[in-house]
Amino acid sequence: MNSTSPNRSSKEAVLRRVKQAIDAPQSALWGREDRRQQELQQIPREFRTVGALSSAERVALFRSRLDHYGAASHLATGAEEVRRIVQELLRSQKKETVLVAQDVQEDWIPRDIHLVRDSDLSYEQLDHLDGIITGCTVAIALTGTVILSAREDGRRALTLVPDYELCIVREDQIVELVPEAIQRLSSLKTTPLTFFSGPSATVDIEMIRVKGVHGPRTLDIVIAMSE
Amino acid sequence: MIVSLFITCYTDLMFPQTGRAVVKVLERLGHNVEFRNSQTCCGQMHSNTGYASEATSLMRRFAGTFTDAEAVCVPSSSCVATIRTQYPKLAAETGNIALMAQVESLIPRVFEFSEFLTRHLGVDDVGAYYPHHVTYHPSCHGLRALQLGDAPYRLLKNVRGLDLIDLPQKEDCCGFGGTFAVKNADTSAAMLSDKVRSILDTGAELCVATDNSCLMHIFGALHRERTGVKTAHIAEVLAATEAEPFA
Amino acid sequence: MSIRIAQTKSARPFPEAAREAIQDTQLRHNVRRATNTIRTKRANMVAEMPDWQQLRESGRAIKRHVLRYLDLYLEQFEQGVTRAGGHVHWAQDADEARQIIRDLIAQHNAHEVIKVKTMTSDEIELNSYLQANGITPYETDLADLIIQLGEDYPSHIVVPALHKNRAQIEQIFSKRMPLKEMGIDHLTSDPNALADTARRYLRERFLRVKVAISGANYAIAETGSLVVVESEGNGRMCLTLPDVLISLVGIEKIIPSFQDLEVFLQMLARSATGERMSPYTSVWTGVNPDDGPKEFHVVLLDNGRANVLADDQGRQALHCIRCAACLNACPVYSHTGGHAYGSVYPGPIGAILTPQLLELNGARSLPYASSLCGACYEACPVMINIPEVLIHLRTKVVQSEKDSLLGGLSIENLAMKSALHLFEHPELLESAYCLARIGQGPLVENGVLPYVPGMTQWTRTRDLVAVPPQSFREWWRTRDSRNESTRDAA
Repeated sequence: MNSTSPNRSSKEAVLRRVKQAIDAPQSALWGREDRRQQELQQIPREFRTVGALSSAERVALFRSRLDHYGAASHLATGAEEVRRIVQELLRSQKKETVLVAQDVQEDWIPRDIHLVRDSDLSYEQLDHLDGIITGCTVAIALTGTVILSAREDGRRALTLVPDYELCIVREDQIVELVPEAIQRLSSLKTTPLTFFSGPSATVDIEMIRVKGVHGPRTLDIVIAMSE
Repeated sequence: MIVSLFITCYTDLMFPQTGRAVVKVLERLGHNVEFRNSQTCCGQMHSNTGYASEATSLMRRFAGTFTDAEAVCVPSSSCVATIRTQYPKLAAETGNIALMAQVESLIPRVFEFSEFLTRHLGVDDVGAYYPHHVTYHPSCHGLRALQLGDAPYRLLKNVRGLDLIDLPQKEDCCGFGGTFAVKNADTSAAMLSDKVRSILDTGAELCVATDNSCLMHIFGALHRERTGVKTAHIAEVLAATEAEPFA
Repeated sequence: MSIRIAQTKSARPFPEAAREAIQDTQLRHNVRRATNTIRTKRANMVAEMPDWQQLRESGRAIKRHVLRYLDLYLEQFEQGVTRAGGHVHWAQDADEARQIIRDLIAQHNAHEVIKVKTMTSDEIELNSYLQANGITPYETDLADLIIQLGEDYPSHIVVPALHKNRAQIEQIFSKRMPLKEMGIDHLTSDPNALADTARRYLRERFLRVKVAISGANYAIAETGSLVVVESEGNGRMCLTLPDVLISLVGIEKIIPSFQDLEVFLQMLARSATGERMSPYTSVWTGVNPDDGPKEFHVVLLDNGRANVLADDQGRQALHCIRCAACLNACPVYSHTGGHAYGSVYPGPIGAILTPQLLELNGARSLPYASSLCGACYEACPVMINIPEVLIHLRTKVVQSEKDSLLGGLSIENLAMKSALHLFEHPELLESAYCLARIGQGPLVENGVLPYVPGMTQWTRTRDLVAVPPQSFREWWRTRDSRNESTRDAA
């Protein structure tokens, strides 16, 4: 279903009005494209694009931001410790039937949980899960953000329907600043991306922050430190 | 240096004591002042209400009057803001290259009174004496358009005997806004009631500012409600000494 | 083509609407508290960022650039969407957009749609149109749900129901939700309970309804991607679960490249809600076989934006990223609330955008709904010089009034002309001063004028300083002649 004739004429009308409004020259098409490229390069970008913190500082900052959002974070060094902490978290939250996303390393997954992989589960089936475990594509320390991409971390519905999410972030996936994360995502820019910065919340009622409207109401982050 | 005074239309008519105080302070600091008779109004009211061609006429008059002045001192930050932000546009609209050049050359020589003292003359103690409790309202034009910063505060802090009390929510607009005060009188009054409350909360006897426009509006409510708090332009406090106190 | 901006047709002039609004103590209390809260949070977040001004400069530069080449970027965007399996539709005005959307929904035999918050759909009054065409739209944003159930209008761009307190919201839910069926016996006005009620009310719709409508915060030309920033998660629900997604996007939402998100994502949440980042940001491109809707449509909306674009001084209003920092900073807004502006876009940005979209065929009082204090410009993350545009629009209003027969004879015009005449003839000033002193005589009490006929707009609520006996220039002349005589004597 491509633009039908009536809509083609609307497209032309809109573009014509836009061109008229900006006084775009009818001729010199190539010249204009060159000028566009040139002006694009000249846009000032003098904000911070490279972080100054060490890895340990980044992790600490990331954790303090998560704490500010009310999302618990746990450090683990080595696959065994990751596994152990994941197991403890699932037990304490009473999560037994848990979906694990594709990108989660085998050796991070505790053996005794009822593991489910995504095999085109329906929304009803997702709704009946106790929770979901995912990895991460990149995380931002300054804003306490975890970014998942559909390509690496599974389709978006997985982290949307179940009520509990456990996300395992590797130390080397944590950058300090937003521009650094955007840079890391450049090869994934057309894949569906979701940025999580704290649990679902709203201030629509009297500006009072209320948590957990839609999406997982509980979020645990495990940070897998490099050995 | 001869300091050329631009008193402003409303200060000329309604607040001549401000002009007299400016003269007193400048002469006390050893400067010669002059008042060029052809001056009237900078055009702010016209410009801000949308009467651009009328404002342009007044801009021409201002530029013509002060074209060769060494420095123009203005006890009104809103007028200086109009001169700095509107004049270049109005001049450009005329397409008159000579006028545009005249305006461009003049603007750097035009100063609001408190910035004239602190930045141009490098003085923040003018030898004043005023033993009272005072609060300062930073008018929006002075605060944002002119970025006066701490200039008025430094001047006030050096006035002997003066107790300067910080004004709560000081950056909130008093609600004058020129013709806004009349076209949107109810909202203007609502904003004013907040400003009055803040002033009363300080316990000060006097509220000062760099603009008689704000002060005229603030006074309007302070007096109507018999609050016992007065208003005055900062120049009047700076002109006060033991020998010649400011009542 | 007819441009339609919600609420503007029946809007009263701002001074009239504001007069009523400021009497509403509940409204003033709510609005003041809300705007103070966000303003403080925003200030803290901005103070944290040593490169905030640089980000603002970049934001403005990017938007300025896009608008100068908007036609090229729009075409690039369309190519990106189409390449990724989506469809682009172009709407010249509100009516066309409504029809396109209705037709798309009808093609799927759907009679219900779920909606993510988008002011653009409010702008074109989409909900009432869909309703009239047998399609029920369900708002899923908590505030929009409150507005929809309460049959009300939004009063703020980011927190649309801020004029309602918890008790009022509890009333609305109790009246309009099937609480018994939902298993709720008694609803309290505790915000947590209210939010939970909304969650349950909406959840079954998310899992069931096949068609969703969204807007977008940004449309990326390079890739044909859209970006939605939100706090609750209802956006993610609508963008991911249904079979069909229709996104209505104003043509000014375009940004050149994915990389540009590095600027806007740093400023939007800090400006809008005083958070470092909103809980959820979703970025998607076209359709993805394994993830999300099978069918995706973008409706690009003009509806007057080309008019704004045509004014090179007013065009900067299109930089707006709908953060509402200007609303929260505005002392006028904090006293009147949003409804007084009579437009779906209230506050400072509304005062410059609405009249321009309508080419001043409406909303003519909005450019005057400001004391020009400049707090909005200070707060704007993309550096829209709102006071400058307000003055520019006032000039256009005055010019169009002067061009009309009645307008030329208006009291204001005559007063402005008289004042000009005096100011151009200083020799007449002193006589005018004399007249003023004589005229005020009987009206002076205690050195002030508590009442002046013809100036009652002022004197109703404020005393007026009386004209002193001698003006400055008269004093200077006497001083001059005194100096002359002492000089002569010396």
